[in-house]
Amino acid sequence: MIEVKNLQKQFGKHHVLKGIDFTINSGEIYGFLGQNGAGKTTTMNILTGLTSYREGDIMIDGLPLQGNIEKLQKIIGYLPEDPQFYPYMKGIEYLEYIGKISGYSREAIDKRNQELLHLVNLTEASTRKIGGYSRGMRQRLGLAVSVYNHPKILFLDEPSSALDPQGRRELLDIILGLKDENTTIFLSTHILSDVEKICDRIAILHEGTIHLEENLETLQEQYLQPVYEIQWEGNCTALKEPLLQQPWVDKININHNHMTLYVHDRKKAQGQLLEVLSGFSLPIISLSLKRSSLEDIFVKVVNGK
Amino acid sequence: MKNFSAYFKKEFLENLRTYRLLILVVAYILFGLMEPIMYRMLPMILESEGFDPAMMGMMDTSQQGLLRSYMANLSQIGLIVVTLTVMGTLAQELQRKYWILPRSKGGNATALVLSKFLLYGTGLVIATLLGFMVNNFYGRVLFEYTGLDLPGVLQGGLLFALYFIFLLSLLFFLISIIQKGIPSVLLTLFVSFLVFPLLNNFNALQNFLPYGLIEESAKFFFDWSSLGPVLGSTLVLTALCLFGTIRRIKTMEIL
Ligand SMILES: Nc1ncnc2c1ncn2[C@@H]1O[C@H](COP(=O)(O)OP(=O)(O)OP(=O)(O)O)[C@@H](O)[C@H]1O
Ligand SMILES: [Mg+2]
Repeated sequence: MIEVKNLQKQFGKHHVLKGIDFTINSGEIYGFLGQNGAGKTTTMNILTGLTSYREGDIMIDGLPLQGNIEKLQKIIGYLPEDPQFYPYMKGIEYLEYIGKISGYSREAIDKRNQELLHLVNLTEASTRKIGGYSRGMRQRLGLAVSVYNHPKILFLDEPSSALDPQGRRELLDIILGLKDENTTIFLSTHILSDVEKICDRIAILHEGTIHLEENLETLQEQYLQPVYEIQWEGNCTALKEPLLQQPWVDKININHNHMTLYVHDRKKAQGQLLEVLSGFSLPIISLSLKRSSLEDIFVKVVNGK
Repeated sequence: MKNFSAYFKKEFLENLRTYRLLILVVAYILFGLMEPIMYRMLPMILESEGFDPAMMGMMDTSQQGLLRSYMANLSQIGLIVVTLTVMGTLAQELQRKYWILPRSKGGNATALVLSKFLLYGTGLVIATLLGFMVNNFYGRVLFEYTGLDLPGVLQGGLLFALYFIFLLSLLFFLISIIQKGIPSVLLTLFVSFLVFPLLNNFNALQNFLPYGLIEESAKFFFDWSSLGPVLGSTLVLTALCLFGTIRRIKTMEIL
């Protein structure tokens, strides 16, 4: 669906993208992560045909981007980081304008406007001028605009940065709904818990290259191993040896009554841990699961492991 | 260009809500009113200040003189007002990035530029003709003139407006390059106030400078056939400016 090879971009002497490669499959939600200034927005602007690039091959929906920009823009939707609207227009007038320049008929526009205003929860505000909208409201309107033409591919640049908690949850639902309609979604965000909830694959852009590109599930299998914190009623030093016998136990740290247990096979550990622990005569006061998160991985990648 | 009406409607709405054209029309009419009144009042003011009212003799208070003085005002302060009022419509599309979303939806830069040009061009013609008529009418009332027919005045106004329309396309072109309003306005004024008068001294250029429209319009009786070169070159230059503007906006980097 989207195929990028050796994409390079520089601003003056500043190489922002030093040759990035990735492929996004049809119907996939692709999480594009990176620190501030990593080049996420730049990449999106390039892929949506708004910015030129120095080198690289970009194929979208089987067509090279170069030379097909206008054609491809018909099947692309883009919600920029901080969408800007004509402040003197009312929300509904803006949607109407977008509908008209996209070539929709009068009836289709009326229908689509109502649908979208409802979707992004702006029905009431739609008769007010956009100049008076809050940033979150503008982001909602921007989302409505970006999906107006039922795009096959949707680019969302930090779509929830200005949204309230409820708006953020609604956004995730909207995105998942679009995925059900087989929309391909390229999402950049700093909210990693959202990424964990909805993305199929993620990539971390760092210092101009892609440092990690992985299936989220694989990532969780490989990197996100659980850590169990166990509080015993008495000193638990003696339990270390028998526990290490279990093939799924990786490492154990003990501090008097407190045990930290690392595993390298999440599935087996989940199945057998309780059974094994209950075999000991020492009572347990508490047991908790501390999972290393995407955040840990992100920090590790960005700090050079 | 099948969606041209959508773009034009948007520009029209923008105008209703930002009052740009209204400001222009009011300014032109005010200037048109001020001139005759000033000329009428000046002798009294001079007298009350103890000057010899005969000093007025140095001023051309004929009906044509009145209109010429109005045109001189328009081509100076008027041009400043026009450029400052109009610049925002294009500068904001680019500088405030209003154009990004429509463009990401395949928005048509040609329609965007041409609809603005059409609206403000028409607005300028209307404002100019109204201003000329007001000035002429008021001059008749105050000074009881009889000469100078309306067709002559309107033709003069039309030529005068054409010059402004050319400057409008130049302003658009400069904005598309610089992407900022004020510097583009200053450059446009620089061209009209300094570059053109300078170039006008070269005989070879004289016949082809859009600037010639201003001189011609002050004559109030025309031999349209002799205007061919200046009209033709103005048309070509205007088209080139618009073409450049559209090209530039189409290929513009969004950063
Ligand atoms: N117009 C420009 N001129 C010069 N440098 C630019 C320009 N636009 C972006 N950059 C630089 O390119 C780099 C990448 O910017 P970009 O906006 O793509 O980052 P980002 O990953 O989207 O960051 P954020 O998370 O803050 O949105 C930054 O170092 C920025 O300074
Ligand atoms: Mg960004």
